Amino acid sequence: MHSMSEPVVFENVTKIFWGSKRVVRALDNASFKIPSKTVAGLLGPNGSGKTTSFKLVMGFLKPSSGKVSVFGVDPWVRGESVRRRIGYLPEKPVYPDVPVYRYLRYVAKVRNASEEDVSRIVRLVGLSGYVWMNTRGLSRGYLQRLGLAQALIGDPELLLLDEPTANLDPLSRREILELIKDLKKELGITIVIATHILPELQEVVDYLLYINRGRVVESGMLEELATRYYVDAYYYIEVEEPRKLASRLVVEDYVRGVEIRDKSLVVRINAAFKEELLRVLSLPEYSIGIRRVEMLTSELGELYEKLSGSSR
Amino acid sequence: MKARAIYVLVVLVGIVYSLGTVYKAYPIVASFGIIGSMLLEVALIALAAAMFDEISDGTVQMYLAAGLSRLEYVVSWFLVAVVYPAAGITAAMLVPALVVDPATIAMPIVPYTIGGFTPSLLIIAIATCIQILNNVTVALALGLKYKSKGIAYLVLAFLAFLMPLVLSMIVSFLGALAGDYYRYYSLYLLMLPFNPLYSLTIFSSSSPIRLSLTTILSVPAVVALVFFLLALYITRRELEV
Repeated sequence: MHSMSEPVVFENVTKIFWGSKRVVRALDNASFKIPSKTVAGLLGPNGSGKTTSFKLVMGFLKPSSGKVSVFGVDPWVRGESVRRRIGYLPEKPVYPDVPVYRYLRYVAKVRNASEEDVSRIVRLVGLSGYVWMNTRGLSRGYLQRLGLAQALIGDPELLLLDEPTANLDPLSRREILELIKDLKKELGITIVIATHILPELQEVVDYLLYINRGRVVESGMLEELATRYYVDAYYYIEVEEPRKLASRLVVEDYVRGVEIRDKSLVVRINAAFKEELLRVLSLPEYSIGIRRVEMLTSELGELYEKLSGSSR
Repeated sequence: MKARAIYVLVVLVGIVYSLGTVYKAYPIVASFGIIGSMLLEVALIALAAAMFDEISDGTVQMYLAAGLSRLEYVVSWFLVAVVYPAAGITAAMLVPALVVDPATIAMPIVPYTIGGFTPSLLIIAIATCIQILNNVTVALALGLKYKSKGIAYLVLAFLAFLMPLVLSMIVSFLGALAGDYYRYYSLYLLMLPFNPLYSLTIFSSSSPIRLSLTTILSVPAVVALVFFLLALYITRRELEV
């Protein structure tokens, strides 16, 4: 039995697709865990095994070998009970050509959710003006909102978003990202986002899993990886006198940038120098006014490059 | 959408059967039993093939993601494409007779006398029902095994058209060569597991191979059940979407 603090656990999972012309090893002895209540980024180039991983979590595919455990059970065997606890937005969702509201009501009925839930989620994702339109009449941006809406019905404990902003125009992409950020803040559930577009993960993820050619190259909390791979990270410091602290920090040669925001600072440093930063912050003249220090994010692009380099 | 088309189709075909029964136009009911059921089966497979399209284009993932099990999904299609049409057509034949004159059901349909065998409307209705259940179930189950609507079409075409046609030609040809038409009659036994409507005419009292009504109807019914269970097994053990 796995700990409930890790809703998704892969143990030596291999998935092989036997085609008529070639055999594809989509996942190769992959082992990883997704910690609870994190926003995890599933990174990797196209064809690396991200979608296959999601399909294994959903119980759509059966592992060729190894063990997949979701909420402590095998999703292939007890798929429906697992799926009722998961919200899933596939990479290329295909919806029945019916009015949006009818489709969402159907999903709600299967998931034992109420009409009120449907209305609340429709408002949350900004679909209110489109509920009587047929799904085929929606633009790509609104189709993604519909995808998020159907995934959120029934208050899922785990949200799987497969390339949620793929093929969207910049405005729609921004809107969907804001929506995901809101979901992170409001719902506090485990979210896994598979993507190969890095900037969209920058502001939301706190756990990272990098897959390449079906193999898990690296996984861990973003801060931990940033430190391990010496990439730049942004630290948020809530402080009584931000200007005073900023003037002290800018003279440190490892500090690459300081931004003052009202009663806080955002400091950019190479994550390897985190201890140095903490040492300065612990000095008596600064430590008194400091209320909170946390890593906001790290340079995912840089981290991605280093991870890609290490997996070649 | 396809499910709605199946609903409309069964209603329309059912009306033809019902009118045939009401007006006691039994030759129409009987001959339509064979030809009509064949055409209906082809239409049913064409519409039920939407299941294979949904599996290949990913629509099924949306249904499963909502919380349906793979079994519920597949069984739903069997209910729509197999059970409902079979039950609908049987009811379309029998209910009007029950309303007009219940005795009609058990009376032999005289004009349908073939080889000394005169089945009643009830037997024709049951045979039609089993034929639809059997052929569409076998086609869907094998299509599901290979996740291919092409296989489903092929199997249905084979069971409904090709097998009776080819067997007739082979038996006739070989019989003509041997100078004895009935010599290779046993080849028709290959149809017994799949074609109760044909079997009614082939294994009648005047044929060299006589089979009881129970055998003619129960063998394809059991085969349909076996293939349905096979479909459930495939769905549970190996259907990936």
